[in-house]
Amino acid sequence: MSNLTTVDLNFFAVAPLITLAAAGLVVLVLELVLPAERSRPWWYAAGLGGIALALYYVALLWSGPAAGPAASIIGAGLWGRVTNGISVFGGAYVVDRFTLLFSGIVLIAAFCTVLLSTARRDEDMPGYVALVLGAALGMCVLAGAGNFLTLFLGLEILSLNLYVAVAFERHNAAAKEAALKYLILGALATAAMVYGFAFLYGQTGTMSLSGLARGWEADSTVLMKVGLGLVLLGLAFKLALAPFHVWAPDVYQGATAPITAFMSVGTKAAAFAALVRVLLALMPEESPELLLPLWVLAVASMVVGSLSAAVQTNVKRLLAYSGVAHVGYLMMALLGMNHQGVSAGIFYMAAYLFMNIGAFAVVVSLGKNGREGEELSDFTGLFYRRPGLALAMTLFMLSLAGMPPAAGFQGKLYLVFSALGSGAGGAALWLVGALVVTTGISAYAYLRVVTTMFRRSEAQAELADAGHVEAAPAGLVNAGEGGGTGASVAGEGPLSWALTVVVAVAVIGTLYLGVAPQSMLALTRHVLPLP
Amino acid sequence: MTVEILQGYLILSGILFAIGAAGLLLRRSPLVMLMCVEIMLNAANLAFIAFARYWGDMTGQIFTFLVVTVAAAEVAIGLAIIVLLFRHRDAADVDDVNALRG
Repeated sequence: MSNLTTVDLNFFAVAPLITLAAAGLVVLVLELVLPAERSRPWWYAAGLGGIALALYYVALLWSGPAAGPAASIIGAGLWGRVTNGISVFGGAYVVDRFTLLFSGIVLIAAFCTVLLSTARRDEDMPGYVALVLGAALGMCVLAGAGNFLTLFLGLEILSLNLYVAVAFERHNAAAKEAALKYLILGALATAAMVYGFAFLYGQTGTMSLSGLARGWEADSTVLMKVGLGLVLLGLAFKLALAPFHVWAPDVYQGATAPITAFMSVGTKAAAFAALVRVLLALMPEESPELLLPLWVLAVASMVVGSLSAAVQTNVKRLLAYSGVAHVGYLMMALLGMNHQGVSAGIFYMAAYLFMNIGAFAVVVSLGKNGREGEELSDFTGLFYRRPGLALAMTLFMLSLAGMPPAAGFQGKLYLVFSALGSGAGGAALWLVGALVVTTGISAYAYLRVVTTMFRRSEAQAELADAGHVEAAPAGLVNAGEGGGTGASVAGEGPLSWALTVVVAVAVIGTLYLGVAPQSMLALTRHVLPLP
Repeated sequence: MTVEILQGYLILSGILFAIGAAGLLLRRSPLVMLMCVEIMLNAANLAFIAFARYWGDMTGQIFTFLVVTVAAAEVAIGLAIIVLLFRHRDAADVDDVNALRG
């Protein structure tokens, strides 16, 4: 038991977390001190700046400062150890490359979310930005949790912020309903998880994940098995693994599209990171069949997610079910708990970040008259109105379906390789088989969106027959329709710069990871002490 | 603390957890559902304190304080959402909250 004097209070190692918390407070204070009509750009800038600064610190912790003031303040001793991972605050928080990678994914998602929200004109938008920053903080805490206290705290920081963020739209009853469902089921999951922590603590007498590993080797009792099961149940809820996914479609539909995008990527990344850390500590090496329920959940997620996605008419719900299927694929990374698997999982998460944020950015940019372009009918004939946006959406859909040359294809490929190389035998074959079958099923769901975009709406078809449609201008920003007299195109201006940036980043990210995956994979190698 | 006493506490906490879970799944009032979540969290707290006594280790008791604090925040947010949702309705019943489905 370490006493206070030996606890390593290394504040620089948690600089990204401090930055996020401080930026959230700055945003809220700026709203108070600046005149209301002029404060708007300032607190968006403060939010984006805070996230960018946190990203800078993540990069700094990754590589270490070459020279300069930062190096002299913290001393050179830290840098040699960060690549191998250091734990600070008495083992509560672990800063290693695994933490930094997931922090990076979460922060990029948060940055895109704030950018996507700049068009919103709701009351109390500073609160909204502060909630996004708070949720990102919770996700970063979760990714680096070194013991149960930090794990619980990270999970709750992200959940509490997201409950409020989901309920944010004041006059939207669906948002309130979604928030209530999310809250009740989320609280149930949290309670189950805390009970699981209690059992694991009772068996081993320690809260730290590194200490647990030793406890498991001693003997695996009923207490330990039930504890592990309850913790996995809690994380499965947050990951939206079937059958614990029932909240996901409702919450994704009820929340605003930027928040949904953030939730789908950030929560999954953070919960996946926590799951890897828990399994790293608790992997029952002598009895791998204890994890069989997890593989069953993974197959169920793939099947339920793909089948349900195929019948949705709401694109947000479709993406929710697609997320359920994708988490199922993601579980394949854990089959062997080896370097190859974790590396494939991180790569898949990065690919999912870009393709999913991109898809939600398109949903946001189709919004008009105060509602979002979330119905499939909003996509009808999109190619003839905004060819650039339609082509971007086509890329995201193909990537989600797992087709080359997009990132989703490479991601699935590495997951399959890691599963087959895991030595898990039958479970691996089942998962790979399910992946192949459900990829085929879900391709229908995604291609339905694509074909809808390339089908002319009735108004457009009439104009086309009459020869009124001129060649649509190329380019993303000014992709209005040439003969903009159809009813469906009324009120569509050019995309805002913020939306353009997010769509462009998502397109570049999706293509880059798909064409040159080695650069990302090199980052993900040997980030955890694994066989 | 002997193992027998520890078992007694664990059985009590198990009963509490089961009551909470059953209430959460069966009751239809969001207020009662929130209370059931509290019961479940307190069942975990009881188990934590019993184990902390058993091991002679303070960390388990610290965790309990953390859980109590976070549960208070969770209930505050939960109540706020319930008030928002049911402001324009007569009775608070989750069966009425069914606009989202599919």
